[in-house]
Amino acid sequence: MIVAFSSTHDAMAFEDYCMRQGAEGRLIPLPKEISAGCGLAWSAPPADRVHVEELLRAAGITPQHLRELEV
Amino acid sequence: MNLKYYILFENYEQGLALHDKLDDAGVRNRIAPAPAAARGQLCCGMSLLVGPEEIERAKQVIQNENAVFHSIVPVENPLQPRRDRYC
Amino acid sequence: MIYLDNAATTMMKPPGVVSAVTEALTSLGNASRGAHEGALESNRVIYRTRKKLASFFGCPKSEQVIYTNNSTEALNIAISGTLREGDHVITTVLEHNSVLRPLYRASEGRGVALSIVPADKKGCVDYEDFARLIRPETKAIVCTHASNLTGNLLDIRRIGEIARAKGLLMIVDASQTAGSVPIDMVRSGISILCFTGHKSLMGPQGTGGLLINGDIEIEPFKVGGTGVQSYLTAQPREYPTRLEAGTLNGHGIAGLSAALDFIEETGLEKIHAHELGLAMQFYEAVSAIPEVRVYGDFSASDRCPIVTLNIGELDSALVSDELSYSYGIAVRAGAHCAPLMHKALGTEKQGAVRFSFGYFNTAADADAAASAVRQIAEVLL
Repeated sequence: MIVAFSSTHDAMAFEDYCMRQGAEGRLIPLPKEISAGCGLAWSAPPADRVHVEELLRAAGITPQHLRELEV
Repeated sequence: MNLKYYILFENYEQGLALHDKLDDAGVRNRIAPAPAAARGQLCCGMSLLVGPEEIERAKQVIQNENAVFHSIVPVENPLQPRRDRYC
Repeated sequence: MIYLDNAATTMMKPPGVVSAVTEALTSLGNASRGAHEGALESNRVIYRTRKKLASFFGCPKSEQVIYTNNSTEALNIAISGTLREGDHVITTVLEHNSVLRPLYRASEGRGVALSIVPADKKGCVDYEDFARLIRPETKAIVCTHASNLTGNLLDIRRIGEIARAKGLLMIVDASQTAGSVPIDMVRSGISILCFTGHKSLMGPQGTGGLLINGDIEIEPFKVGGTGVQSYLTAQPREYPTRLEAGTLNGHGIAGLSAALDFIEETGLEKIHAHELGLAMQFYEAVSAIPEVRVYGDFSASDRCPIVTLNIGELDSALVSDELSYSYGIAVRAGAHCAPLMHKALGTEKQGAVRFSFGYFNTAADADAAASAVRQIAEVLL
Protein backbone atom coordinates (compact mmCIF):
# COMPACT_ATOMS: atom_id res chain seq x y z
CA MET A 1 0.00 0.00 0.00
CA ILE A 2 1.64 3.22 -1.16
CA VAL A 3 0.59 6.67 0.00
CA ALA A 4 1.94 9.55 -2.10
CA PHE A 5 1.88 13.13 -0.82
CA SER A 6 1.74 16.54 -2.46
CA SER A 7 4.35 17.93 -0.08
CA THR A 8 7.25 16.80 2.07
CA HIS A 9 5.55 18.47 5.00
CA ASP A 10 2.55 16.12 4.65
CA ALA A 11 4.86 13.10 4.30
CA MET A 12 6.75 13.98 7.49
CA ALA A 13 3.53 14.79 9.32
CA PHE A 14 2.12 11.35 8.41
CA GLU A 15 5.29 9.53 9.46
CA ASP A 16 5.26 11.45 12.75
CA TYR A 17 1.62 10.52 13.36
CA CYS A 18 2.11 6.85 12.47
CA MET A 19 5.19 6.57 14.71
CA ARG A 20 3.21 7.93 17.63
CA GLN A 21 0.38 5.50 16.92
CA GLY A 22 2.77 2.58 16.50
CA ALA A 23 1.39 1.93 13.01
CA GLU A 24 3.29 -0.38 10.66
CA GLY A 25 5.01 1.13 7.63
CA ARG A 26 7.85 3.42 6.64
CA LEU A 27 8.88 6.18 4.25
CA ILE A 28 10.42 5.09 0.95
CA PRO A 29 11.45 6.88 -2.25
CA LEU A 30 8.39 7.62 -4.41
CA PRO A 31 8.07 4.71 -6.93
CA LYS A 32 8.54 5.82 -10.53
CA GLU A 33 5.04 4.56 -11.40
CA ILE A 34 3.52 7.36 -9.35
CA SER A 35 3.83 11.10 -9.92
CA ALA A 36 3.47 13.32 -6.85
CA GLY A 37 4.67 16.60 -5.35
CA CYS A 38 6.96 14.91 -2.85
CA GLY A 39 9.70 12.36 -3.44
CA LEU A 40 8.85 10.45 -0.25
CA ALA A 41 6.01 7.94 -0.06
CA TRP A 42 4.59 5.88 2.82
CA SER A 43 4.73 2.11 2.36
CA ALA A 44 2.39 -0.08 4.43
CA PRO A 45 1.35 -3.78 4.08
CA PRO A 46 -1.29 -4.20 1.30
CA ALA A 47 -3.90 -5.62 3.67
CA ASP A 48 -3.76 -2.38 5.62
CA ARG A 49 -5.74 -0.11 3.21
CA VAL A 50 -8.64 0.61 5.53
CA HIS A 51 -6.29 1.20 8.46
CA VAL A 52 -4.12 3.55 6.39
CA GLU A 53 -7.20 5.52 5.26
CA GLU A 54 -8.24 5.86 8.93
CA LEU A 55 -4.79 7.03 9.93
CA LEU A 56 -4.79 9.65 7.15
CA ARG A 57 -8.20 10.93 8.24
CA ALA A 58 -7.19 11.07 11.89
CA ALA A 59 -3.95 12.88 11.02
CA GLY A 60 -5.88 15.41 8.92
CA ILE A 61 -3.79 14.67 5.81
CA THR A 62 -5.15 14.37 2.27
CA PRO A 63 -2.86 12.12 0.22
CA GLN A 64 -2.12 12.85 -3.41
CA HIS A 65 -2.47 9.12 -4.25
CA LEU A 66 -3.30 5.92 -2.41
CA ARG A 67 -2.47 2.76 -4.38
CA GLU A 68 -1.53 -0.84 -4.10
CA LEU A 69 1.77 -1.39 -5.85
CA GLU A 70 4.48 -4.05 -5.91
CA VAL A 71 7.68 -2.39 -4.68
CA MET B 1 44.37 62.79 30.00
CA ASN B 2 46.13 60.54 27.56
CA LEU B 3 46.50 60.94 23.81
CA LYS B 4 45.86 57.93 21.62
CA TYR B 5 45.64 57.44 17.88
CA TYR B 6 42.71 55.65 16.26
CA ILE B 7 43.11 54.22 12.77
CA LEU B 8 39.64 54.18 11.18
CA PHE B 9 38.32 51.94 8.41
CA GLU B 10 35.36 51.51 6.11
CA ASN B 11 34.84 47.89 7.14
CA TYR B 12 36.09 45.12 9.41
CA GLU B 13 38.04 43.39 6.61
CA GLN B 14 40.28 46.42 6.15
CA GLY B 15 40.71 46.72 9.92
CA LEU B 16 41.59 43.10 10.52
CA ALA B 17 43.97 43.04 7.56
CA LEU B 18 46.01 45.96 8.93
CA HIS B 19 45.84 44.51 12.47
CA ASP B 20 47.60 41.37 11.17
CA LYS B 21 50.21 43.44 9.32
CA LEU B 22 50.97 45.58 12.37
CA ASP B 23 51.21 42.46 14.56
CA ASP B 24 53.62 40.87 12.06
CA ALA B 25 55.75 44.00 12.13
CA GLY B 26 55.78 44.04 15.93
CA VAL B 27 53.90 47.35 16.19
CA ARG B 28 51.80 47.39 19.37
CA ASN B 29 48.15 47.93 18.48
CA ARG B 30 44.79 46.68 19.59
CA ILE B 31 41.27 46.52 18.25
CA ALA B 32 38.96 49.06 19.89
CA PRO B 33 35.55 50.59 19.20
CA ALA B 34 35.92 53.58 16.87
CA PRO B 35 35.23 56.76 18.85
CA ALA B 36 31.80 58.07 17.87
CA ALA B 37 32.95 61.67 17.71
CA ALA B 38 35.94 60.86 15.49
CA ARG B 39 34.32 58.71 12.90
CA GLY B 40 31.60 61.07 11.62
CA GLN B 41 29.50 59.35 8.96
CA LEU B 42 31.86 56.40 8.72
CA CYS B 43 29.96 53.29 9.66
CA CYS B 44 32.62 50.84 10.69
CA GLY B 45 32.68 50.48 14.46
CA MET B 46 36.10 48.89 14.58
CA SER B 47 39.33 50.84 14.82
CA LEU B 48 42.95 50.10 15.68
CA LEU B 49 44.24 51.86 18.76
CA VAL B 50 47.91 52.85 18.67
CA GLY B 51 49.89 54.77 21.29
CA PRO B 52 51.81 57.98 20.45
CA GLU B 53 55.11 56.12 20.75
CA GLU B 54 54.10 53.65 17.99
CA ILE B 55 52.15 55.81 15.55
CA GLU B 56 55.07 56.66 13.26
CA ARG B 57 56.00 52.99 12.92
CA ALA B 58 52.34 52.18 12.22
CA LYS B 59 52.28 54.77 9.42
CA GLN B 60 55.43 53.22 7.98
CA VAL B 61 53.81 49.77 7.90
CA ILE B 62 50.71 51.22 6.21
CA GLN B 63 52.90 52.75 3.53
CA ASN B 64 55.12 49.71 3.01
CA GLU B 65 52.17 47.30 2.83
CA ASN B 66 49.86 49.60 0.84
CA ALA B 67 47.33 48.96 3.54
CA VAL B 68 43.81 50.30 3.07
CA PHE B 69 42.42 52.51 5.80
CA HIS B 70 40.20 55.55 6.07
CA SER B 71 41.99 57.99 8.37
CA ILE B 72 44.05 58.34 11.53
CA VAL B 73 42.63 60.56 14.26
CA PRO B 74 44.19 61.58 17.57
CA VAL B 75 41.80 61.44 20.54
CA GLU B 76 42.30 62.55 24.11
CA ASN B 77 40.91 59.81 26.32
CA PRO B 78 39.86 61.20 29.71
CA LEU B 79 39.62 57.72 31.19
CA GLN B 80 42.69 56.30 32.90
CA PRO B 81 42.99 52.58 32.44
CA ARG B 82 42.37 50.76 35.73
CA ARG B 83 44.17 47.57 35.04
CA ASP B 84 44.24 46.52 38.67
CA ARG B 85 40.61 47.20 39.55
CA TYR B 86 38.17 44.34 40.17
CA CYS B 87 34.45 44.57 40.76
CA MET C 1 34.18 38.11 30.91
CA ILE C 2 30.87 39.49 32.12
CA TYR C 3 28.79 39.25 28.97
CA LEU C 4 26.10 41.93 28.74
CA ASP C 5 25.58 42.05 24.98
CA ASN C 6 22.74 39.53 24.72
CA ALA C 7 20.74 41.87 22.47
CA ALA C 8 23.47 41.31 19.86
CA THR C 9 23.61 37.56 20.45
CA THR C 10 23.42 35.22 23.45
CA MET C 11 26.91 33.91 24.01
CA MET C 12 25.97 31.23 26.50
CA LYS C 13 23.70 28.54 25.01
CA PRO C 14 21.90 25.85 27.02
CA PRO C 15 23.98 22.62 27.14
CA GLY C 16 21.30 20.72 25.20
CA VAL C 17 21.77 23.08 22.25
CA VAL C 18 25.47 22.35 22.07
CA SER C 19 24.97 18.59 22.19
CA ALA C 20 22.12 18.69 19.66
CA VAL C 21 24.32 20.50 17.14
CA THR C 22 27.25 18.17 17.81
CA GLU C 23 25.08 15.11 17.29
CA ALA C 24 23.54 16.59 14.14
CA LEU C 25 27.00 17.18 12.71
CA THR C 26 27.61 13.43 12.64
CA SER C 27 24.15 12.12 11.80
CA LEU C 28 22.18 14.34 9.45
CA GLY C 29 21.96 13.95 5.71
CA ASN C 30 20.28 16.52 3.45
CA ALA C 31 16.54 16.87 3.96
CA SER C 32 14.28 16.22 0.95
CA ARG C 33 17.15 14.86 -1.07
CA GLY C 34 16.60 11.15 -0.46
CA ALA C 35 14.70 8.56 1.49
CA HIS C 36 17.61 6.97 3.34
CA GLU C 37 17.92 7.28 7.10
CA GLY C 38 20.34 10.24 6.93
CA ALA C 39 18.00 12.33 4.79
CA LEU C 40 14.91 11.19 6.70
CA GLU C 41 16.48 12.08 10.04
CA SER C 42 17.18 15.56 8.73
CA ASN C 43 13.59 15.81 7.45
CA ARG C 44 12.29 14.78 10.88
CA VAL C 45 14.34 17.40 12.73
CA ILE C 46 13.18 20.09 10.31
CA TYR C 47 9.53 19.05 10.43
CA ARG C 48 9.36 18.72 14.21
CA THR C 49 11.06 22.04 14.76
CA ARG C 50 8.57 23.72 12.40
CA LYS C 51 5.78 22.35 14.58
CA LYS C 52 7.48 23.58 17.75
CA LEU C 53 7.94 27.06 16.25
CA ALA C 54 4.31 27.18 15.06
CA SER C 55 3.12 26.28 18.55
CA PHE C 56 5.57 28.68 20.23
CA PHE C 57 4.41 31.70 18.19
CA GLY C 58 0.75 30.74 17.76
CA CYS C 59 0.99 30.23 13.99
CA PRO C 60 -2.00 28.17 12.75
CA LYS C 61 -0.12 26.17 10.07
CA SER C 62 3.28 24.63 10.59
CA GLU C 63 3.82 24.43 6.83
CA GLN C 64 3.77 28.23 6.87
CA VAL C 65 6.84 28.34 9.11
CA ILE C 66 9.70 29.25 6.77
CA TYR C 67 13.35 28.84 7.78
CA THR C 68 15.88 31.58 7.05
CA ASN C 69 19.41 32.35 8.21
CA ASN C 70 18.27 35.16 10.53
CA SER C 71 15.59 37.79 10.91
CA THR C 72 17.32 40.10 8.41
CA GLU C 73 16.77 37.51 5.70
CA ALA C 74 13.20 36.92 6.91
CA LEU C 75 12.44 40.66 6.80
CA ASN C 76 13.93 41.00 3.32
CA ILE C 77 11.76 38.11 2.08
CA ALA C 78 8.63 39.52 3.74
CA ILE C 79 9.16 43.09 2.54
CA SER C 80 10.37 42.43 -1.00
CA GLY C 81 7.90 39.59 -1.41
CA THR C 82 4.75 41.54 -0.53
CA LEU C 83 5.25 45.14 -1.66
CA ARG C 84 4.59 46.37 -5.19
CA GLU C 85 4.88 49.69 -6.99
CA GLY C 86 2.34 52.18 -5.73
CA ASP C 87 1.99 50.55 -2.30
CA HIS C 88 2.37 52.63 0.86
CA VAL C 89 3.97 51.31 4.05
CA ILE C 90 3.97 52.62 7.63
CA THR C 91 6.96 51.98 9.87
CA THR C 92 8.58 53.64 12.92
CA VAL C 93 11.79 55.35 14.07
CA LEU C 94 12.38 52.43 16.46
CA GLU C 95 13.40 50.17 13.59
CA HIS C 96 16.67 48.36 13.04
CA ASN C 97 18.39 48.73 9.64
CA SER C 98 17.13 45.23 8.81
CA VAL C 99 13.68 46.79 8.50
CA LEU C 100 14.73 50.24 7.30
CA ARG C 101 17.12 49.28 4.51
CA PRO C 102 14.74 46.87 2.75
CA LEU C 103 12.03 49.55 3.03
CA TYR C 104 14.33 52.28 1.71
CA ARG C 105 15.28 50.01 -1.18
CA ALA C 106 11.62 49.33 -1.96
CA SER C 107 10.96 53.05 -1.76
CA GLU C 108 13.84 54.04 -4.06
CA GLY C 109 13.77 51.11 -6.45
CA ARG C 110 10.13 50.14 -6.61
CA GLY C 111 8.12 53.28 -6.03
CA VAL C 112 6.82 52.21 -2.63
CA ALA C 113 5.84 55.20 -0.47
CA LEU C 114 7.01 55.23 3.14
CA SER C 115 5.67 56.94 6.28
CA ILE C 116 7.61 56.80 9.53
CA VAL C 117 5.92 57.12 12.94
CA PRO C 118 8.06 59.34 15.20
CA ALA C 119 8.96 58.79 18.85
CA ASP C 120 9.50 61.15 21.77
CA LYS C 121 12.70 61.56 23.79
CA LYS C 122 11.84 58.45 25.81
CA GLY C 123 11.49 56.42 22.61
CA CYS C 124 7.69 56.16 22.92
CA VAL C 125 5.25 56.42 19.99
CA ASP C 126 1.76 57.91 19.79
CA TYR C 127 -0.42 55.01 18.59
CA GLU C 128 -2.87 57.44 16.95
CA ASP C 129 -0.13 58.21 14.43
CA PHE C 130 -0.45 54.75 12.89
CA ALA C 131 -4.12 55.31 12.07
CA ARG C 132 -3.52 58.91 10.99
CA LEU C 133 -0.92 57.86 8.42
CA ILE C 134 -3.12 55.25 6.69
CA ARG C 135 -4.06 56.10 3.07
CA PRO C 136 -6.12 54.23 0.44
CA GLU C 137 -2.94 52.68 -0.99
CA THR C 138 -1.47 51.60 2.39
CA LYS C 139 -0.56 47.92 2.13
CA ALA C 140 1.26 47.16 5.37
CA ILE C 141 2.51 48.24 8.76
CA VAL C 142 6.06 46.97 9.30
CA CYS C 143 7.36 47.44 12.81
CA THR C 144 9.57 46.03 15.50
CA HIS C 145 8.18 44.40 18.64
CA ALA C 146 10.90 46.12 20.70
CA SER C 147 13.61 48.72 20.12
CA ASN C 148 17.08 47.18 20.21
CA LEU C 149 18.34 50.48 21.59
CA THR C 150 15.91 51.46 24.35
CA GLY C 151 14.31 48.09 25.05
CA ASN C 152 10.85 49.74 24.84
CA LEU C 153 8.10 47.40 23.66
CA LEU C 154 5.56 48.41 21.03
CA ASP C 155 2.00 47.32 21.78
CA ILE C 156 1.74 45.06 18.74
CA ARG C 157 -1.75 43.89 19.67
CA ARG C 158 -2.95 47.50 19.49
CA ILE C 159 -1.14 48.10 16.20
CA GLY C 160 -2.45 44.76 14.91
CA GLU C 161 -6.03 45.91 15.58
CA ILE C 162 -5.41 49.10 13.62
CA ALA C 163 -3.97 47.04 10.75
CA ARG C 164 -6.79 44.49 10.81
CA ALA C 165 -9.50 47.18 10.81
CA LYS C 166 -8.12 48.47 7.51
CA GLY C 167 -7.20 45.11 5.96
CA LEU C 168 -3.48 45.84 6.14
CA LEU C 169 -0.64 43.36 6.46
CA MET C 170 1.09 43.49 9.82
CA ILE C 171 4.77 42.49 9.52
CA VAL C 172 6.61 42.29 12.85
CA ASP C 173 10.33 42.15 13.58
CA ALA C 174 10.58 40.00 16.73
CA SER C 175 14.39 39.93 16.86
CA GLN C 176 14.53 41.33 20.40
CA THR C 177 11.48 39.60 21.83
CA ALA C 178 11.32 36.02 20.45
CA GLY C 179 12.29 33.85 23.41
CA SER C 180 11.86 36.66 25.95
CA VAL C 181 8.33 38.05 25.60
CA PRO C 182 5.30 35.81 24.77
CA ILE C 183 4.01 36.28 21.21
CA ASP C 184 0.71 34.96 19.82
CA MET C 185 0.36 35.77 16.12
CA VAL C 186 -3.37 35.19 15.95
CA ARG C 187 -4.26 37.17 19.10
CA SER C 188 -2.03 40.06 18.05
CA GLY C 189 -3.22 40.11 14.44
CA ILE C 190 0.29 39.54 13.07
CA SER C 191 0.37 38.56 9.39
CA ILE C 192 4.08 37.80 9.11
CA LEU C 193 6.40 37.35 12.10
CA CYS C 194 10.17 37.51 11.52
CA PHE C 195 12.48 36.07 14.15
CA THR C 196 16.08 35.12 14.74
CA GLY C 197 17.28 32.00 16.55
CA HIS C 198 20.49 33.27 18.09
CA LYS C 199 19.34 36.00 20.50
CA SER C 200 16.78 35.32 23.28
CA LEU C 201 15.83 31.96 21.76
CA MET C 202 19.41 30.92 22.65
CA GLY C 203 19.85 28.87 19.47
CA PRO C 204 22.77 28.86 17.04
CA GLN C 205 23.64 31.72 14.73
CA GLY C 206 22.44 31.03 11.21
CA THR C 207 18.88 30.14 12.28
CA GLY C 208 15.71 32.15 12.08
CA GLY C 209 12.58 32.39 10.00
CA LEU C 210 9.28 33.91 9.17
CA LEU C 211 5.84 32.62 10.10
CA ILE C 212 2.87 33.37 7.87
CA ASN C 213 -0.62 33.69 9.37
CA GLY C 214 -3.29 33.38 6.69
CA ASP C 215 -3.45 33.27 2.90
CA ILE C 216 -0.67 35.67 2.07
CA GLU C 217 1.20 35.59 -1.21
CA ILE C 218 4.91 36.21 -0.78
CA GLU C 219 7.01 36.12 -3.93
CA PRO C 220 10.28 34.25 -3.39
CA PHE C 221 13.48 36.17 -2.73
CA LYS C 222 15.62 33.33 -4.06
CA VAL C 223 14.83 30.30 -6.19
CA GLY C 224 16.74 27.08 -6.72
CA GLY C 225 16.98 23.47 -5.63
CA THR C 226 14.17 22.13 -3.48
CA GLY C 227 14.68 18.37 -3.70
CA VAL C 228 11.13 17.96 -4.99
CA GLN C 229 9.48 18.65 -8.38
CA SER C 230 12.89 18.85 -10.01
CA TYR C 231 11.47 19.05 -13.57
CA LEU C 232 9.54 22.26 -12.88
CA THR C 233 11.40 25.26 -14.25
CA ALA C 234 9.70 27.55 -11.74
CA GLN C 235 9.99 27.39 -7.95
CA PRO C 236 7.15 25.25 -6.50
CA ARG C 237 4.37 27.47 -5.17
CA GLU C 238 3.36 25.69 -1.98
CA TYR C 239 4.77 26.74 1.40
CA PRO C 240 7.29 26.18 2.82
CA THR C 241 9.09 25.07 -0.36
CA ARG C 242 8.26 28.31 -2.18
CA LEU C 243 10.52 30.32 0.12
CA GLU C 244 13.18 27.70 0.96
CA ALA C 245 15.55 27.12 -1.95
CA GLY C 246 18.80 25.32 -1.22
CA THR C 247 19.96 23.18 1.68
CA LEU C 248 18.55 24.23 5.03
CA ASN C 249 20.80 24.71 8.05
CA GLY C 250 19.85 21.30 9.49
CA HIS C 251 22.59 21.38 12.14
CA GLY C 252 21.51 24.81 13.28
CA ILE C 253 17.84 23.83 13.28
CA ALA C 254 18.68 20.84 15.48
CA GLY C 255 20.20 23.29 17.94
CA LEU C 256 17.21 25.62 17.67
CA SER C 257 14.93 22.69 18.45
CA ALA C 258 16.86 21.96 21.65
CA ALA C 259 16.71 25.66 22.55
CA LEU C 260 12.92 25.65 22.20
CA ASP C 261 12.79 22.56 24.45
CA PHE C 262 14.89 24.37 27.05
CA ILE C 263 12.58 27.41 27.01
CA GLU C 264 9.54 25.14 27.26
CA GLU C 265 10.97 23.21 30.21
CA THR C 266 12.26 26.29 32.03
CA GLY C 267 9.22 28.48 31.29
CA LEU C 268 9.21 31.64 29.15
CA GLU C 269 7.73 33.74 31.99
CA LYS C 270 10.48 32.60 34.37
CA ILE C 271 13.19 33.43 31.82
CA HIS C 272 11.74 36.88 31.12
CA ALA C 273 11.27 37.66 34.82
CA HIS C 274 14.89 36.74 35.55
CA GLU C 275 16.36 38.82 32.68
CA LEU C 276 14.15 41.80 33.36
CA GLY C 277 14.83 41.62 37.08
CA LEU C 278 18.55 41.95 36.46
CA ALA C 279 18.04 44.82 34.03
CA MET C 280 15.90 46.68 36.56
CA GLN C 281 18.43 46.03 39.34
CA PHE C 282 21.12 47.57 37.11
CA TYR C 283 18.83 50.43 36.05
CA GLU C 284 18.02 51.38 39.63
CA ALA C 285 21.72 51.46 40.54
CA VAL C 286 22.93 53.51 37.55
CA SER C 287 20.02 55.93 37.38
CA ALA C 288 21.06 57.12 40.85
CA ILE C 289 24.47 58.27 39.49
CA PRO C 290 24.19 62.01 38.67
CA GLU C 291 26.35 61.92 35.50
CA VAL C 292 24.43 58.99 34.00
CA ARG C 293 21.63 59.50 31.48
CA VAL C 294 19.47 56.42 30.79
CA TYR C 295 17.33 56.23 27.63
CA GLY C 296 13.94 54.60 27.32
CA ASP C 297 10.66 54.27 29.16
CA PHE C 298 11.15 52.47 32.48
CA SER C 299 7.65 53.25 33.69
CA ALA C 300 6.10 50.78 31.22
CA SER C 301 4.62 47.58 32.66
CA ASP C 302 6.86 45.43 30.47
CA ARG C 303 10.03 45.92 28.44
CA CYS C 304 13.11 44.11 27.15
CA PRO C 305 16.08 43.52 29.49
CA ILE C 306 18.06 46.39 27.91
CA VAL C 307 19.51 49.45 29.66
CA THR C 308 21.15 52.01 27.39
CA LEU C 309 22.96 55.00 28.83
CA ASN C 310 25.60 57.66 28.49
CA ILE C 311 28.00 58.96 31.13
CA GLY C 312 28.15 62.76 30.88
CA GLU C 313 29.53 63.73 27.47
CA LEU C 314 31.97 60.82 27.33
CA ASP C 315 32.24 59.18 23.94
CA SER C 316 30.24 55.95 24.20
CA ALA C 317 32.96 54.06 22.34
CA LEU C 318 35.58 55.07 24.93
CA VAL C 319 33.26 54.04 27.75
CA SER C 320 32.57 50.64 26.21
CA ASP C 321 36.26 50.11 25.53
CA GLU C 322 37.08 50.96 29.16
CA LEU C 323 34.37 48.56 30.36
CA SER C 324 35.79 45.81 28.19
CA TYR C 325 39.51 46.41 28.65
CA SER C 326 39.66 47.35 32.30
CA TYR C 327 36.62 45.60 33.74
CA GLY C 328 36.06 42.65 31.43
CA ILE C 329 32.45 43.73 30.80
CA ALA C 330 31.16 43.24 27.25
CA VAL C 331 28.58 45.77 26.02
CA ARG C 332 27.76 47.45 22.72
CA ALA C 333 28.32 51.13 21.95
CA GLY C 334 27.81 53.27 18.90
CA ALA C 335 24.85 53.37 16.57
CA HIS C 336 23.40 49.87 17.09
CA CYS C 337 22.11 49.74 13.48
CA ALA C 338 19.26 51.98 14.69
CA PRO C 339 20.00 55.38 13.13
CA LEU C 340 16.49 56.85 13.43
CA MET C 341 16.19 55.91 17.09
CA HIS C 342 19.50 57.63 17.84
CA LYS C 343 18.26 60.73 15.96
CA ALA C 344 15.04 60.71 18.00
CA LEU C 345 17.01 60.45 21.27
CA GLY C 346 19.61 63.04 20.22
CA THR C 347 22.50 60.57 20.57
CA GLU C 348 23.84 60.57 17.01
CA LYS C 349 27.21 62.13 17.82
CA GLN C 350 27.85 60.49 21.19
CA GLY C 351 26.32 57.10 20.48
CA ALA C 352 25.19 55.24 23.57
CA VAL C 353 26.30 52.28 25.67
CA ARG C 354 23.88 49.35 25.70
CA PHE C 355 23.80 46.76 28.49
CA SER C 356 21.57 43.78 27.63
CA PHE C 357 20.93 40.96 30.08
CA GLY C 358 20.36 37.28 29.31
CA TYR C 359 19.10 34.20 31.17
CA PHE C 360 22.58 33.11 32.21
CA ASN C 361 23.54 36.48 33.72
CA THR C 362 23.46 36.84 37.51
CA ALA C 363 22.81 39.51 40.12
CA ALA C 364 26.59 39.70 40.63
CA ASP C 365 26.98 40.62 36.93
CA ALA C 366 24.46 43.45 37.30
CA ASP C 367 26.21 44.69 40.47
CA ALA C 368 29.66 44.58 38.86
CA ALA C 369 28.42 46.49 35.81
CA ALA C 370 26.77 49.18 37.94
CA SER C 371 29.93 49.52 40.02
CA ALA C 372 32.05 49.90 36.88
CA VAL C 373 29.74 52.62 35.53
CA ARG C 374 29.99 54.42 38.89
CA GLN C 375 33.80 54.33 38.80
CA ILE C 376 33.96 55.55 35.21
CA ALA C 377 31.55 58.37 36.09
CA GLU C 378 33.89 59.44 38.93
CA VAL C 379 36.32 60.61 36.24
CA LEU C 380 33.87 63.42 35.56
CA LEU C 381 33.61 64.61 39.16
